[in-house]
Amino acid sequence: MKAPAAHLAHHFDDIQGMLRSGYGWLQDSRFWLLTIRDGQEIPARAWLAKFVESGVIANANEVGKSRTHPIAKAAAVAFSFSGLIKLGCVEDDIYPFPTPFRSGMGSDARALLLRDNPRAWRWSDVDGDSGDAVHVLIAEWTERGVGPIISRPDETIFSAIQVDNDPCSFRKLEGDNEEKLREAFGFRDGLAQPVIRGLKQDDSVRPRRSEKDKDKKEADALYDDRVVQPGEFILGYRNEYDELTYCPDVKGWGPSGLAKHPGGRFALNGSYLAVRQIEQDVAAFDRFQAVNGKDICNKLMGRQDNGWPLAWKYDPTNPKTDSELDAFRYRVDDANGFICPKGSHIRRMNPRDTLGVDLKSSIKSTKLHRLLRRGRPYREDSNGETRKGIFFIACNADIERQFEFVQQRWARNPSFVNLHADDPFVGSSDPQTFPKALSLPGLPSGGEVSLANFTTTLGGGYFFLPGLAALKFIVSEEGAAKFATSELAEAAAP
Amino acid sequence: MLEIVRQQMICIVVPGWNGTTDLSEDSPVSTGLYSLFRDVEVVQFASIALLPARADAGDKRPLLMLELAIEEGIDPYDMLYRLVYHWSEAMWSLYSSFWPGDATALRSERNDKLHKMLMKHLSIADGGFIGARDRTARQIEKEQELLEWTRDEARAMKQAMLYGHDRSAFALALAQRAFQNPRFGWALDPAPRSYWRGKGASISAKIGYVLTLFVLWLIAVWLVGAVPRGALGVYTWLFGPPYSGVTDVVAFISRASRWVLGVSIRSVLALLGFGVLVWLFLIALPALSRTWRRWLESVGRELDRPTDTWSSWLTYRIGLLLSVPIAFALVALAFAFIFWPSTIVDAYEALTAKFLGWQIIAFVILAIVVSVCAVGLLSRISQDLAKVGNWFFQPYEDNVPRAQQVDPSIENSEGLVVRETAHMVSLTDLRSPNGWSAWWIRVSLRIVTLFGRVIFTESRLGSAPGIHFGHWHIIEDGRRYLFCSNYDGSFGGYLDDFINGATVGTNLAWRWTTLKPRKLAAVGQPAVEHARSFPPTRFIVFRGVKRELQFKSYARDSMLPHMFRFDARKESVDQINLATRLRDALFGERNDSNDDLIMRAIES
Repeated sequence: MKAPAAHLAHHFDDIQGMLRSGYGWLQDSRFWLLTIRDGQEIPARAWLAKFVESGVIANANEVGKSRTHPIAKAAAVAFSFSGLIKLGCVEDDIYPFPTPFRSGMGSDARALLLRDNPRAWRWSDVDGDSGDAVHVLIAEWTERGVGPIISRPDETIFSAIQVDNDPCSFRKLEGDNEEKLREAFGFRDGLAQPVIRGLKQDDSVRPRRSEKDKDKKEADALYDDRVVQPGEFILGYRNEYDELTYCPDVKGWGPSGLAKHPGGRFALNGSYLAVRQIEQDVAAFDRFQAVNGKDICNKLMGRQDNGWPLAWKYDPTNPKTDSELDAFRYRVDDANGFICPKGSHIRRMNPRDTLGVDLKSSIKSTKLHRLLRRGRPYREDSNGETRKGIFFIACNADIERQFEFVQQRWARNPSFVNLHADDPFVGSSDPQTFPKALSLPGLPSGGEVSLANFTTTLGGGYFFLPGLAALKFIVSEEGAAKFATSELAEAAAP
Repeated sequence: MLEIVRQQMICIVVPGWNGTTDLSEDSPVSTGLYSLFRDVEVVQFASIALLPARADAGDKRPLLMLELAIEEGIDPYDMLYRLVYHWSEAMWSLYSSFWPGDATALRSERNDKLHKMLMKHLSIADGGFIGARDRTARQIEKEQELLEWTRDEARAMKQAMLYGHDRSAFALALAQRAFQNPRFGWALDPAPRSYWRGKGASISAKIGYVLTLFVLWLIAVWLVGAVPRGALGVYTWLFGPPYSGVTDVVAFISRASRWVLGVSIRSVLALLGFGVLVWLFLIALPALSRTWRRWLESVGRELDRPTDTWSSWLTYRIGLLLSVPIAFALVALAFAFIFWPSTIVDAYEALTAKFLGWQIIAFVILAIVVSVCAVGLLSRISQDLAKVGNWFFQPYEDNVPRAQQVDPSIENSEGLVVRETAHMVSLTDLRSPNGWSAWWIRVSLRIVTLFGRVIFTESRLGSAPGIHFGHWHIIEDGRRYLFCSNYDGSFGGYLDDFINGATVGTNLAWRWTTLKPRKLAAVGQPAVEHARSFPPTRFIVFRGVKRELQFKSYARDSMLPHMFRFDARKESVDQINLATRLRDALFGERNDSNDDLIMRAIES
């Protein structure tokens, strides 16, 4: 007899908090990319176990209470496939990890499939040109000025790359009633997030159902456009196909008795993170803006820099929530891209109601390719030079159908909706063979602007963000390592 | 009509490949084939893959598959003749290993032998679909040149600030320049369109065709009876009555003809009756009644639901209980009406003899009231069940083992063509009994092909876009099933389009297949270590592919990498269509819609 699937509502305390919230109120952030040195697996596990036990890994339950009792700090831990192997996890034969995660974002196959050849990466999740694989990703968020949670991981155990946030990324501009996240080119960031069904109350999203909001019927009506089934982001729950998302397993998980849900597999309540460190060439963008003006820059992004949709007239006296700023479609108002060009960044990353035969099927199919973004702008000061960029993190449950599809078929596909250039911002390309450009339909006789490479990817990897019980299993002495005999680990190593 | 589509997509599957020929990208065989296909000009797409032998096959060597998608109207015999007897002898260099040590034989003899063998192993598609049809590779190339020329010209005109802000003037100027350019003389003729995309595109043409065929049939049947009758009459008038045997034969023919006429007409009436019922319950009632619409939607959703829930389980079981007897009753009624109409008349007379008119009317009204109440009760129960909520809709664990796994060879061949048209070769086994499965698949594929040819003429099969060629073959005497397709996009996206846009067709095409374990065809190629089955369907067309995880895993495991690939044109189907539309707009009538099309083409 089959067992009933897990109920999302019963598992909030096993789901890492970052799936529920982007921690908008915790304005300082820091990311650690840790490579466990050879022979240091046991101390590494001990160090991680201590970190986990310190209670800083927020769960979705704590985050849910954040309206009334905001937490002051939060952290999340995720592992690349090589990291899981390093820490002693051995894939189950019947429920192995999906191929994209196992092969890693840094692999040659992914370089082709993600269309980012050639790569000159500083780090990745596989051993190779960019050095040793990153095994562990730790993200931490704290209130401004409180200082970091981790001072510095032990150098003898880990080699670490530290990515600090840009302290100026939360800014209050004219008309804002609070500080808002802005990326290095000056655009509002973190808008248009999917709302996970059954895990609402995100910090920026508020459903409008009450009587006093009845004049905002429009926003209410489009709210469903961004409600996405939990299985698109959290493993083990219903996804947009109304199926339970595939949960991989590791050896020893069942006998360990740590599973919260009877019969639940290792990956239940987990998620995959597609991580990229993307450097932004702010000087090049400023030069472009000086020549072409702000309106054209907004067209590249597809939104005004204050976050308002291009079609809306900015009205500082009538501030809108992020949820309201997401209540728009293209098909009826802007099918030809006269206002928001078809090739603009946001229209590529989330084509909303445009790609199918009709409105309903378009929205349905777009929901198969949504990403939950949890990245933050970063700043790096080295040799007297300041470099800015975004530490991009996208949570998804099916890497191939979500992150890789968006990257390969939408962002980097020059023939997306019959255009002949790829995304104005994402990735860089050879200006001789494949110049960056954007068509601007609807100007008197159409227009086209040539673009520089505004961004460069410095590194990337796929990480598995485990549920808290699985996290305990990975880092504890009694957990994964016990089941990984050295032969098994060797056989499973990539 | 279907033949013309089917023979455009052919596969030659030759058993006993010994694997000595080098097919790597820069090998002489590959480059030779590449220039051969370029040279003959009518091959739009070609690929070579190795099919591993069946586990129970006597010959364990793999089979060599050559897939060809060629232009319309070419007989496969002629096509192969053209390829085999080409001066470059590229085909011989591919197949020469089947005759080791025979390279010195007379060239014509060799080619005869090869042509004969290829014809023996030729399989034209059992069903197929072509996205950008009616276009030759040469035409696609020329139209693409026109599109690029137009974009460049527009760029230059914009820089020269010639036409200010007027889109129509701009479009007119572009059209004039294109018209005056001697390079584009060929574009003066409108782009060719086959009958079903051209004159036959309207629904009335399609209905007209069917009606005409039916009327012609009736006339033919009538003539079969009437001509002997007339001849007999004339003979009798001239010479008096003939032998009684002749009269009997004529009378029999005449009766038979009348009987066939009656059956034909009643069959059509019965079909119309079914049509009215379907229209009433699936179109008219949902449009009128919100409750009915919701109920219908929820039944469809539950039947399609990929996971096991009580809601889905109950809907399916109740559906079976209700629909099977009703379907049987309707079919029995229809047969009685068609073949023994008198039984119905007799029954009616018996009924009126027993009951008075008002009693019958009252009974009918009562029956309607009872069924409305029953439906109301059922929907009430289902609503209450829905309110009970969680347990009713809560899915049960569904274990799809080894999901989301891709063989490195498949991933590699997908990665290499990520900037071009994607391609998949899938090889599965027919479910036993093979003959039964093969028959059903053939019928289903003919339906899919017919719909693809006649109705889905604008590059979308159902609502699945981006298919260049997709074709299915039943090979090895009905033991195995081969699907080859080249398409725009990625494997996952392609299957998503099928799952959501062509559920019925995909279920029909695949549901009689399964995947048995098999060894790898060559080093570095995928093997099937664990059997898989196609996700189970309900009422033949529901569920099935809606179980995304199982369907994608099934398709992934059945895939084989290509060893050679030739694509005459790299444009996507949408780009091909855009260029053709631009050609027709530039050289067509000057009107607003054409002007707009030109401007949109250059702005894209």
